[in-house]
Amino acid sequence: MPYAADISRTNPTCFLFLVDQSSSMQEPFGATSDKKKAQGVSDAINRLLQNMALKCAKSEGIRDYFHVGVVGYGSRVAPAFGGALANRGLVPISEVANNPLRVEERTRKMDDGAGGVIDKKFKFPIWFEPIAQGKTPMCQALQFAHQMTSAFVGRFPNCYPPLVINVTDGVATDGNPEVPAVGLRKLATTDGGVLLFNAHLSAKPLRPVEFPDREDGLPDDYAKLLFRMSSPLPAKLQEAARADGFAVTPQSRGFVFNADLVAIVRFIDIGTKVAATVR
Amino acid sequence: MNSPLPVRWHAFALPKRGHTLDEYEDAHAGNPATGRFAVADGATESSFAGKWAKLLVEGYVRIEEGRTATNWLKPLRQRWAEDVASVPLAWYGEEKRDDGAFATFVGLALKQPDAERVGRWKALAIGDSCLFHVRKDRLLTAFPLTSADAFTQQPSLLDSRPRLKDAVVPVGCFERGKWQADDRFFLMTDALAQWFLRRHAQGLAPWQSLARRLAEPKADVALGTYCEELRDRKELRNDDVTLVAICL
Repeated sequence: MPYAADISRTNPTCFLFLVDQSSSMQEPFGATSDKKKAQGVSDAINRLLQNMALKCAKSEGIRDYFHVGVVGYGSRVAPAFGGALANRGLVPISEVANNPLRVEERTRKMDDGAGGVIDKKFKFPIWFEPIAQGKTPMCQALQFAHQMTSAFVGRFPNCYPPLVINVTDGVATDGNPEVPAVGLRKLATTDGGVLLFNAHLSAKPLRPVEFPDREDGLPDDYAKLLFRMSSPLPAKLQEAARADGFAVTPQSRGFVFNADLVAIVRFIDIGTKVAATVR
Repeated sequence: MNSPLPVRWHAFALPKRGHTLDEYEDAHAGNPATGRFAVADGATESSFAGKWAKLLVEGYVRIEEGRTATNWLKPLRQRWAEDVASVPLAWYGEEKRDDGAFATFVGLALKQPDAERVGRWKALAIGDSCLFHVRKDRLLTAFPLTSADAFTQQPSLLDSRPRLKDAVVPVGCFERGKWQADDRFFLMTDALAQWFLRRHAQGLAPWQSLARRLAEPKADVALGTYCEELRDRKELRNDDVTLVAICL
C-alpha cells in the first residue's frame, strides 16, 4: 500500500513550503480586511513550522523525522529561511527548531481546571517575515521544488513521499502551473508520488473551504486550477482528517481555500497522536 | 493480600527498530504480592511520556486489594509534574511540558481464590494497550479491543495534566472475570496486541507462539528474535513492544 512508509530518523520525510511573495500579497486576506495576505502567509508558515517542531519534540530534544525547506517566490525564487538558516534548502527539523529569527512571548486563554479561565503565556517562534514584492513565478517555484525534492528522494528512496505545500493567491505570471505540478507529482519514492498540496488565500471575503472533493462550487478559476494541481489525500491522511472532524471523501484533495494547512502536520503519522483538542 | 498469588510471570520489552533502549517509552510492572500487573505506552507525540508510563504502571501495581483506588492517579500526576518542573528546556520543550504527557494503559488485578477455589480478576484499560485471557488453548477474553481493525493512530489516552475538572478514567474501560489454575494472561502494548488479534482472527493461536518462546531458557532473546522476524515480514508494526505474560 502506498503512503504507508514508516517515518523515522533513518528514513525521514520532507516538507517543502512554497510561499508566494508577490506584490499582490499586499492585498487584504479573506474576511479579515485588516490583515494582508502576506501576513496571513507568514503566520501560517510560522505555525506550520512550530507544529512540526512540537510534533517531533521529546524530552531529550527534537527527533529529525522531517527535513524542512521554505522557498519564496516573488522578485526571485530562492530559499527563504533567514538568520542562521539563510540560503539553506532542506534542513533537519531540529536545526529549524533551534534557529528561529526570534521567539515572541504571547498569551492564550486556558481552562484553569476548576471551571475558570486563565491567561497563559507561551513562546511563539518566528522564522518567516511577510514579504510582498514582484511577480508570481509559480512555475519556476514548482520546478525548483522538483529539483530539491528530487535530491531528497535520491538520498531517501524508500521514504514517505515528500510533501510540497504551496501557499499562494493563485495567479501565476510565468505560465500554466499545472504542467510543472504534474511533473512534480510524478516524482516518486518506493512509497508513492510526491504530494503537492495547495493553500489558496483570496481577497474575497468568502468562507473557508477545506479538502474539497470536486472543483464545482469553488469560487473562481484560480481556486479550480489549484484544486486540479493538488494531490488526492492518501487513505491514511483521509482517516486522520476524518478523526480531526473534517468531512473528507475518497476524492478529497490536499487543497484549502482561505484556510491554512496546519492540520496536515497533525495528519502525518510518526506514532501515537494526541488529540487535536489538546493543543 | 496476605500471601503472594501462585503466579509465574515474565516481562519482555523491545524498543522500536531504529531506537535505543533510552528512547523506549512503554513501561511494565508486576507485583505478585498485590496480584497486580500493568503495561503502558507513552504517546510518541508527547514529551516525558516514558516517565509518565512508568509512573502509571508502578503506581497501579502498588495498590493493595480492597483499597479504594479512585484517586490513584492524583499522586502520580503530582509526581510527574514535580519531576519535570525544574528541567531546563528550549521553547518547544516548555510547550510540550505544558501540554503534559500521555499514555495508554492496561492493568490487571487478580484476587486470591475463594473457598470454592475460584479466583476473580478485574482489569482497567485506557486506549489500545490490551489484555488477553487464555484458558486451555482458547482465548476467553480480549480487552478492551477485540479486533485488529480497531487500532487507530489516535487512541484514548491518560494524561498527566488533566484538563477537565475531576477527570478520571473514561467510562467503559473496566472488565472482570474469573480465573482458574493454569490460565494465562497476556498484557501487551498496541503493536503486539494488534498482531495477536490478527493472528487469532486467522484461526491461529498466537499465545502458543509466545508461550513457546517464553519457555526457552533465554526467553527475552527468543522473543526479541521472533519480534524482529515479524517486523521483517511486516506482520508487526514497528513500534515499542511490551509484553507481560502471567501463568497461574
